[in-house]
Amino acid sequence: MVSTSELAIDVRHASKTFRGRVHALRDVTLQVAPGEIFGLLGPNGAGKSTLVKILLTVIRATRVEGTMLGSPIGHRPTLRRIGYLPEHLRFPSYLNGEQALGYFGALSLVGRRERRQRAGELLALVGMQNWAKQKIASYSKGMRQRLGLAVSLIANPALIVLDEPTDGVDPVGRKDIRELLIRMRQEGKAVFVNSHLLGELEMVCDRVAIMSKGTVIRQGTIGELTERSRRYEFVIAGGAPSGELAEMLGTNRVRVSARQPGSDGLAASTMLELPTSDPIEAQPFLDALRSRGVTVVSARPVRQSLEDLFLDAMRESGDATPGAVRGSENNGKAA
Amino acid sequence: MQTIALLVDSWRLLTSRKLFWLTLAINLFVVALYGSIALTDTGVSLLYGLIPIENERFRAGSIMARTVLMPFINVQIISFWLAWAATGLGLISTASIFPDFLADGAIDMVLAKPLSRLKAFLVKYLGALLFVLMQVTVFCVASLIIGRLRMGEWQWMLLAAIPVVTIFFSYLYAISALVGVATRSSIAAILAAAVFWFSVFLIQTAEFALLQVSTFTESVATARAEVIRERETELAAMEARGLTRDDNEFERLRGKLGNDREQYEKEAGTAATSKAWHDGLYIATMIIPKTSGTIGLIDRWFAKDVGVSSLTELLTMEGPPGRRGGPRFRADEDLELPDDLGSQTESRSKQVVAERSIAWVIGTSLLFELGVLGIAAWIFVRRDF
Repeated sequence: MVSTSELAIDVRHASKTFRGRVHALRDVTLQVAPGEIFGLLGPNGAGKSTLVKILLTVIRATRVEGTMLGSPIGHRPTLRRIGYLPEHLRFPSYLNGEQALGYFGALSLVGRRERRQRAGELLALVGMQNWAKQKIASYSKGMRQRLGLAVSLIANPALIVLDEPTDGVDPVGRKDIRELLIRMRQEGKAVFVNSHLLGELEMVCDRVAIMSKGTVIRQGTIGELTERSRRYEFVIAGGAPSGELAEMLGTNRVRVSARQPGSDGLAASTMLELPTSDPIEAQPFLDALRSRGVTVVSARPVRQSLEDLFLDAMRESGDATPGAVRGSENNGKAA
Repeated sequence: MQTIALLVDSWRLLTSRKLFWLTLAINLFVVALYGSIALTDTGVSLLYGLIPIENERFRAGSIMARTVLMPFINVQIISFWLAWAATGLGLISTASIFPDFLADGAIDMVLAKPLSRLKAFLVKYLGALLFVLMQVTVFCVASLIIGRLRMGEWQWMLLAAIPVVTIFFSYLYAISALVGVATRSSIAAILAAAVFWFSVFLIQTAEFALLQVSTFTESVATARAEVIRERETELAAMEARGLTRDDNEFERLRGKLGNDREQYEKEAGTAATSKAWHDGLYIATMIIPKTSGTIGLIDRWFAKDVGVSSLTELLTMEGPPGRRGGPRFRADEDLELPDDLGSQTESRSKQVVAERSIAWVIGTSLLFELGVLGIAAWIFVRRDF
């Protein structure tokens, strides 16, 4: 475990009450280590953007403790080492891509020569090198996001905070952004991503926190958070088991569910869910099925997807706004 | 580095707008109009010779042309064009600077940088002043050159308009910035600045009008007091000569004295009331920026060169005394007032205004601006975006 002094973000007891007694954040505590991609999830109004804005001094916290890159939260000079891509990013439309990088680079106290050098590199990195001299007014939303990413990296930051980075970006662009985040992680930078796109986060995040109604309700690695949901799924030919087979399944706490005919090319099949993530423990069960002449169509280890995890967390917290998120396509995730 | 970046950004913002170039074009058009005036051997020609005006006093090389006419034209152009039209266009052009700066998704990018909010606010404010500074500089320098070419004189005083008009604009822009920061609305910023400008103009005009009324009624009351003294002396002399109450002349004078005393009470009361109102408005004008006073500095400086209190006064010094404007008063037949009391009153009032020091005019106005900017900066610094 990284010591607290080395954490990229170590925020504790962050609270924010807006006028009218609106509690946007309630005692939020979380940590992000260097070289880690951290995902912050939550429905609309959960307080994700408020937390991000507090970290970046855009909003003043009612209460907050902790550090960012070793300095107290709110320490302005430290912002030089932090890259930020806000939600609903709006660039001055009279600038072109190169000018935007130069302008925000200068605000981040990057020297002129370094700005020029990095501007070219970053525009190439986000695939915008051919648009460097074009006015931003002519950019598509996805292009603006790409430019925003480049701007967030202009000062070669140690911590990058991205609020909905793939908003408005096409699938190819999303893949590019994922690869970029992974590259940042490989360079030892901490990446803090706030997103609705659970599938996107699941592919890159080392750890996630789920927020609801201004509080963090779950936090950890995706593995830790989905540990309880890990299982083996066996698809067997035929209808619901009976007799001695059904008894054996009951002994092994196996959940049985019938599958609709034709769903995977078979006339009828049954799904058996064995509550274990250990392949060694699955072998006796597989042997038992085969010894009883059962045709095993498929067997695979699965775990809960981030979307399932998120929806479960929302249900538990009573925050029923599932429309606020877009998840992965599959419910179950192959482990 | 950050200051330059913010200023360059403001410059890019302003020059990206058509209104900037339109204003510049109109400025140059006005300079061309200015250049259409020329001094000839017989007088003045307008519209590049289309309209010749013969006037010996103002022909080329005459002292009057050099010391009165040319400064007068300059002052009129500065007072009407730069101080009204160009300033209005400037307010419209710059009203969106703060609302755009504070837009969601735009301000976050700036505030998340290692940049103090106060610095960001002040540099943006200065950026807006750059607009007017640049426009006024182009106008004044072009006018200076055109003036030399067409009228043969370097009117260096024109350059004084550059800081004066910029300072004048800054009073109004402070209000625009305050409302822009508070509401993030360009329309609200423009409206607030316009309403404020008009209100300030009204207050200053009312203050000057009341100063004239106060000065005038005081003069009338003083004249009445003099008449009363004369009548009292005359009555005393008549009594000394043994004239009695039965004497018609004595009684007529006594009656008039009574009327004069009654009139004096009224006139002194009016003078006191108008002075009280004037003093109240004067206190109000101490607080608000002196827009007219600031632009009036140009007139004062040009006039000082010539050695008069006002160029307008010098140019209108024709015709019989008492017909030169100022309040009119119909005195009764026994109250001898100077024929030109109206113009004397106006001159004295202008003198009072002219005696208000530059430090007072600019200083108190800048204090107001500082106060408004302080509130705007406080809102900007404390606000959650």
